[in-house]
Amino acid sequence: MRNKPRQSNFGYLPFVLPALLLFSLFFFFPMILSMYYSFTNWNGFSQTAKFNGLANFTLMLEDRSLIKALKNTLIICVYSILSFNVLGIGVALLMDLPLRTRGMLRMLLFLPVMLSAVVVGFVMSYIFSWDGAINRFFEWIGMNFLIHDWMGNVRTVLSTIIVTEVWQSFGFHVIIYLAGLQGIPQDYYESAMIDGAKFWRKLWHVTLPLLAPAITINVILSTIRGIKVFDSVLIMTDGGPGYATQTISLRIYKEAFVAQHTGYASAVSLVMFIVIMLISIVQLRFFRRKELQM
Amino acid sequence: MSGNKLGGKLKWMLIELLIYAGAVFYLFPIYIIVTMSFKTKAEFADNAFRLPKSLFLDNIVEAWGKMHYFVGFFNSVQLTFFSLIGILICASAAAYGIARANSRLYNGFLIYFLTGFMVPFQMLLVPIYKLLKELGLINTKPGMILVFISTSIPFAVFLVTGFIKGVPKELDESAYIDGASKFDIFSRIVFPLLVPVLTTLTILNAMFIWNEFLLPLIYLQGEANRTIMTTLFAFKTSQYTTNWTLLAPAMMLTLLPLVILFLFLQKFIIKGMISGAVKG
Repeated sequence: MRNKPRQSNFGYLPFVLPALLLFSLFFFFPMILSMYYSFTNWNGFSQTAKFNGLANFTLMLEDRSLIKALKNTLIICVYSILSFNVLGIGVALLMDLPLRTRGMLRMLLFLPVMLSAVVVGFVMSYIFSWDGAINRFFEWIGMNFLIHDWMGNVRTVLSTIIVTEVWQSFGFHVIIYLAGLQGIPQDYYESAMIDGAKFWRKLWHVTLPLLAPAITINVILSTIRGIKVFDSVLIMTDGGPGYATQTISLRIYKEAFVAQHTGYASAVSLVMFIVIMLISIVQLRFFRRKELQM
Repeated sequence: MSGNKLGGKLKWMLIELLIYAGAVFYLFPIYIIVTMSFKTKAEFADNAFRLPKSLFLDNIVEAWGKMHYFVGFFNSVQLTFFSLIGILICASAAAYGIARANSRLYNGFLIYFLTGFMVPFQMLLVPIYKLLKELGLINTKPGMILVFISTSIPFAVFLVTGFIKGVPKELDESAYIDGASKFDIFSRIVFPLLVPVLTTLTILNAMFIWNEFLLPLIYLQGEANRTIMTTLFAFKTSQYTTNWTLLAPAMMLTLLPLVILFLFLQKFIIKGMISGAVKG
């Protein structure tokens, strides 16, 4: 008797096989290769790679540009998680109001998500450049003292990256929240109304708890996005000026493709992969527990 | 009573107006790209914010010619089209298997695919390069297409599996009793029901493939192979100083095809994302 469902299960294997093979060959296998390289001194093109144990990993602890990159990545992460989730929920609440032009507003909100990182990087480079839109605006309204070299100054350049990253992906996260809001049955609000609940109480006791699944997925996705920040720095600043906008992803790319320290780059990316996995698991556990409590 | 109603209406109009004020600010970068495209150099130097005085088309014509738009456009269309076919077929078949078998082994497959979410892609850049080289697929479109399909599989399988789990299994079972094979059930019954989620997938992956620039920059070198985004990237770096009134129309040209696709399918995408995201 136990054989029967098993047999029929194997019948599904041909359906999974193409995806399984492609993913294994072009994704999983390279991942394993990269893990192997991280214990070698391979330079990316020579025929031989020498095993060097944990040397790459101990080197990381002394790599000051990497530590700076880690710090920048953390700052970008914190600001983007806050923007995507706090501001994101706020905007989603606004967009969920019974407005006449909801559809139109949603489309406009999603527009930046569709742009290529190249286009976004280029236009933001213009906006923040010395003779760019922001400075020209300050000149126009006669507040010349605000004119500033946004991307040339070490103290402001990181914020230009944060603004760029947040602007490009904001719509994506708000749409997920909107989806969550639409899944909340109207009766919950009605009974809260009957109980005389005001806006903040309704938000705290009805909306947020029922939005929990959307919050879980959004926090995890925005954390991963923050840790992986890459395109905008490569296009806008190339990590500069100095090391002011280096991020972990950019370091990995530079070590692998410019410095040809493939072994070292692989080691850094392995650590990054483990960190992302751990953070995701911890967040998932934390938020799932919250969801259950509610 | 009616005065109250009028006041309510006014309140909503005011809220809507405020939201649009925010939207203007939010969409400013896009406004800049579009208006810059139609301004002469002198006009742009004079005032960057105003609407263009006339529909000045020379920039667009010049950008079109100088960036070799059509080569990039045609390459990107090919890459997007063939990758999408591969993604849709592989992912929906795999999702059907996983959702219907619903056993430990198949759920294990799903988790295996999901590791793809967490991998920083920089980790794979060099190994994939080496692999493509060994297979003789480096700087070829088929190689690039295989990479696009493989990197899209995790999200696609995840999204479609969630969707198929919502399709009643009774449909399959009654067909099974009528003697239909699993392949028939998949291709004739389940696949047609997947249209909404596959539309979402089409848009999201078309966006990803059309907009991607790092992968083709590394795996698809050579001028004849340039995609739309590597064309734009090369166009900017080829200029001695940044010429914004020429770069803006170039940017606009690269994003126009996607915007058109989006306008046609936008109802599906937002709806599809909504159902996919919440089930996940």
